[in-house]
Amino acid sequence: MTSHDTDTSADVRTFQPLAGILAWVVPGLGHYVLGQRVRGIRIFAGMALLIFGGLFIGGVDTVDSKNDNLWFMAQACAGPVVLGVDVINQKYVKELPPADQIAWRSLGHVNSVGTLFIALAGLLNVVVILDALYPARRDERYARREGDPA
Amino acid sequence: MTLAWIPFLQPVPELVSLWYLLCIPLVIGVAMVYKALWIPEGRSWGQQVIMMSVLMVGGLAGLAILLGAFVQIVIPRL
Repeated sequence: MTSHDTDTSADVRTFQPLAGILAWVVPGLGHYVLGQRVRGIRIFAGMALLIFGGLFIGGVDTVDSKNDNLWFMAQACAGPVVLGVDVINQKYVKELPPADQIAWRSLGHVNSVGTLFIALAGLLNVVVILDALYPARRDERYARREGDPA
Repeated sequence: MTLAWIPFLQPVPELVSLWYLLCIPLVIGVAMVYKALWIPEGRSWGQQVIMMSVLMVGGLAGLAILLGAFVQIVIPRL
């Protein structure tokens, strides 16, 4: 193990359910509480770019549990913020009169790309959650790659 | 109506014609998370993210050129 792997202390080499839950609540927070603060901030930055980038591009219409339910399954893994966006979409936007919904609806490529941004964020967060749940496995992989016993 | 646009709630107006450029922030976001997980904390994360992003955008552009050539040149000759 190289000297800069300061995140491999013995206390994080076990199953970490709290870190996994926190990783879903706020992407990167699971790693942050495990002491991997730089990694947690980097994960948060990347996930924020994907989630808020998708919302910026396509608006709240990119998260739709009713009409795009398969995409929503992937998106929901990105955390409660996505569930909140879906609530706004279902309870507020879809209750508007059809003429007023036009400004809130994204169509074509804009909707597709926005949906894809948030779905990819969700799928990446599955990896992040697994990594926070089992931090030792990732550290052992590093060690093998570096040719150094864990 | 552009004046009434509410960012993050309503879709960006006038973005339809430039949708393919949106792959760049998408690729950067994926690279940021992937490299944050994969490389040790002390390593040059930003440099790795830039390199991965350039490779992915280059790969996508290459695939687009290949598929475009296939559709425009090969298929009409079949």
